[in-house]
Amino acid sequence: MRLIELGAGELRRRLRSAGLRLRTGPFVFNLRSPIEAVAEGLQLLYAHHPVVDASTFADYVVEIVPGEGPRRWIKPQCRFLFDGRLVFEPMPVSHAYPLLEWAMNWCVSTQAHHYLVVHAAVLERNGLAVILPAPPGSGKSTLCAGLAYRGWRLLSDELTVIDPTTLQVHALCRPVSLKNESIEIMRAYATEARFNRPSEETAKGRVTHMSVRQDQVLRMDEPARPRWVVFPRFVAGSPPRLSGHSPSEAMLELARNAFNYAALGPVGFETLAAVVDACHCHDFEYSRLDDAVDTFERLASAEAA
Amino acid sequence: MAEIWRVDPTASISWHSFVDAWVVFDNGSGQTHRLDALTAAVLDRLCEGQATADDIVAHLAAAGVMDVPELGALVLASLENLHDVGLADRGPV
Repeated sequence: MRLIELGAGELRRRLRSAGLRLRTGPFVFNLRSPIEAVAEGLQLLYAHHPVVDASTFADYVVEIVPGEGPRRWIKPQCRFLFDGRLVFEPMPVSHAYPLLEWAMNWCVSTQAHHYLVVHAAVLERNGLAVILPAPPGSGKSTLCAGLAYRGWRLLSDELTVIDPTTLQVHALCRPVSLKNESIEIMRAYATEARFNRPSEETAKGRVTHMSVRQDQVLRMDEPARPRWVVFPRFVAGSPPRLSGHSPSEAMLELARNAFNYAALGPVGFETLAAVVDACHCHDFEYSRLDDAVDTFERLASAEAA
Repeated sequence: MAEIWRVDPTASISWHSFVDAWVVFDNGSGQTHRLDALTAAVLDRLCEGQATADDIVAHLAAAGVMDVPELGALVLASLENLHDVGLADRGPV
């Protein structure tokens, strides 16, 4: 069953009681929250995601609940509880929806040690994955969002989940996080996308989430084989410039960006080394999204040829 | 006084060769290191057993890996680098 088939009333009933069991790629989340913004956001952004029944094992139990005591009334807050335990500092209740997304990221990045989890966007074309590790401010999310609406299938905008056994990258297929200027850029660029109501003055500034295309949600169980590692960098006024990147340096940078690389020990090392061996590694500077899309199109075409 | 070098006993090393460098993972520390060819060859020699810097120079020269007048100084520098990152340990002969 897809979330859209549940209906608004049942969605809210589940969120307020035993929980809504939502599947995003290989993970099932049991989500609970009485906060209306959470229900609205899920309804808008996860409409075509599978909802599983209560007998299906949930990997993570996530609750977004109102603040306690006077904080229910004065400057009301929301809190993320993981298995009933408070994880982050409480936030203003107006940040409840982004808090849910950050909480879901936290679950995967800190708990999914049967995978190697790298802080990087990842997209797929013709069964091949391009991994985009980059620090905040590099334009990674905007680039990822743009590519996902120009021929590339979004696997994840934040977490590259690699199976150490198969070396395949799994799709999480969750909404793309956008902030500040990139929100209006993407509204103009992806006119068919749905955008949640922005949350103001979060730790990251003004943030919102953009829906994944329905056809891509329906393909969320298709993994992809790593083929490119591209380190994007937004440079104002720069023409698109793709250049080679040292594989050994790429290995170190991916290791630095991996959440559980050290925890996995030699398995993490061997997995990452095999991924880098399988990939062409590049640096990429750009300033215009259309230029970036053209460059990535050429990457995919060259591979297909 | 001459020193003898060995792989740090707390280190547990995995190797991977890329076209441009060697990368090693030390499971003891959880650290990953990128090594140039000479440092990788020095560490490889230590993995075979403890050795003095002179032993390593002779080993590399005999293998034809590198035979330059400054090889002794380069090997010492590599050993110091390996020591600094916790991959090599030293003691008196």
